[in-house]
Amino acid sequence: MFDINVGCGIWPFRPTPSGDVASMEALLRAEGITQACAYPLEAYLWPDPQEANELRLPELAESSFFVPSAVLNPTLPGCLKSYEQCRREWEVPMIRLLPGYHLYELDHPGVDALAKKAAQDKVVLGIHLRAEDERMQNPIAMVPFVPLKNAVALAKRHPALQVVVFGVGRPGEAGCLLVEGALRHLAEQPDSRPRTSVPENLWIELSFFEFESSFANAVKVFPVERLLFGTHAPLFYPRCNVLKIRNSEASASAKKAVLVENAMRLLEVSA
Amino acid sequence: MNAIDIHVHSRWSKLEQRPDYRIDRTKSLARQSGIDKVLILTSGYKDPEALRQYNNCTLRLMEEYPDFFLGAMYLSPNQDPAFIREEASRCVESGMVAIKQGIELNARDKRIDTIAEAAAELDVPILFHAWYKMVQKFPEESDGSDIADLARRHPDTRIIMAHLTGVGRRGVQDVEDLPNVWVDTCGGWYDTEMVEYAVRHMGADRVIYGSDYPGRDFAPQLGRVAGAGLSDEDKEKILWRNAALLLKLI
Repeated sequence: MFDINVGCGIWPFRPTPSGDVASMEALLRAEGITQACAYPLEAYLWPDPQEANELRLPELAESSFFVPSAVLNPTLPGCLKSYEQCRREWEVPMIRLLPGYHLYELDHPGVDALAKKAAQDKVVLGIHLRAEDERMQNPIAMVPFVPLKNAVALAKRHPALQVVVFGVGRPGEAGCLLVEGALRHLAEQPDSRPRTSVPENLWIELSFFEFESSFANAVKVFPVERLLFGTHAPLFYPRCNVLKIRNSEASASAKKAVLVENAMRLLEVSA
Repeated sequence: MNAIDIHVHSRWSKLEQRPDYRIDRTKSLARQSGIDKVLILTSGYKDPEALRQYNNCTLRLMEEYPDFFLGAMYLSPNQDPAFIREEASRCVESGMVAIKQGIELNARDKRIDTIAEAAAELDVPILFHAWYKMVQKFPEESDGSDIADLARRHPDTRIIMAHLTGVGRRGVQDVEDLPNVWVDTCGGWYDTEMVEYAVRHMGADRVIYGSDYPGRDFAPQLGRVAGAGLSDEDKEKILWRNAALLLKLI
């Protein structure tokens, strides 16, 4: 299994397990995960996320288990310099944005400048729509959910850029992509082609996606070739997202595509 | 894996409109994840006849699949106390093993007392919705401190505080010294360290697996117990033994 959503380091709001690279690898390997794309957790709140990248990415880049991924804040004047450093020193194939935590919209000019550069370099852009349940956030840091439609708009503005959205929680949140039928009573609908039209450069990570029979429904909502397995460890128990897919009644080929193949194709990594 | 899911919502409210597909699906998805039995929670109606019919739907499920569906009745605290007692007795005599309370009235409201007294007299627990929310809070929604207040008013009533992750650490501390309160493991997504925290503070005997299906999914909700840093013995207690004892199945 390839886990595309792992944070490494210290989460500021509550205790989380496996705060260093070695123990995180052990935690994920115990669940049967064989590779993971990881980013520094400290980047959520540190004023310059590049300092978090500098703290965690050297060790992640040396690991054969992890694919390193950097977090950038495109509103910072030095963002493109940080991007170049992340490419040069740690060869990151993916950069991530945390717009809710870094307080900007996805139509900020800095986002488009970074997206343009990433597209030229064939670097994937990840957008974290949420990291926590909005209902139980720390009251001094209430971070709103970033609407999926804003990420879709970004992907459409940059068709040469591969965009991954992290944190889509409910089928209804995909309403902006709906092309036919309805997302109500999804479980009772027979399998057919997906109900949404997803831009060819957009990918959906599933760690937050939950409803009855989550994975089988995800396959009804989105094209299976654009879905990605992520655990959101260490904030979530990794076992939860493993079981979400493994215990599903979806086809074995769909499970294999999402657990293994899609992420490796996206990031151009080999087993 | 053997498990009892203590938090599964009913979706059958009118006898003549049996949702065959949904019922079959609940069974098949649960069994696919190794869940042997589920406690069906009947939802609230203030109208006595509608409420009785909703409870009857749950009773019908229990009759059809006695090895799989356990039943929890709904009782409206806004109804006449005599009706509440009559309906509670009727449902328990018909085999129901618990009472569900949601967000109709806060647990501190004295109108809940009739239900709490009936639960103690009939020796069935109340599964009570609870959550500490920063947003999206319902007007009468209970939190951990409200559940604790109810538990202190009725020390002979057994209460399952729903939504461990929803009530969080504050909610666990609210009830940890109250031996008549248990907590179920659901409540949104699967925050690490939460089940372990509840076990450290309340003991593994007072934590019970629940999924909140169908708003949530059996398999990932099981994962927060199966994937927690606990002994196999504690996981077994949480996954089925505690529920079996509380509901007097063993």
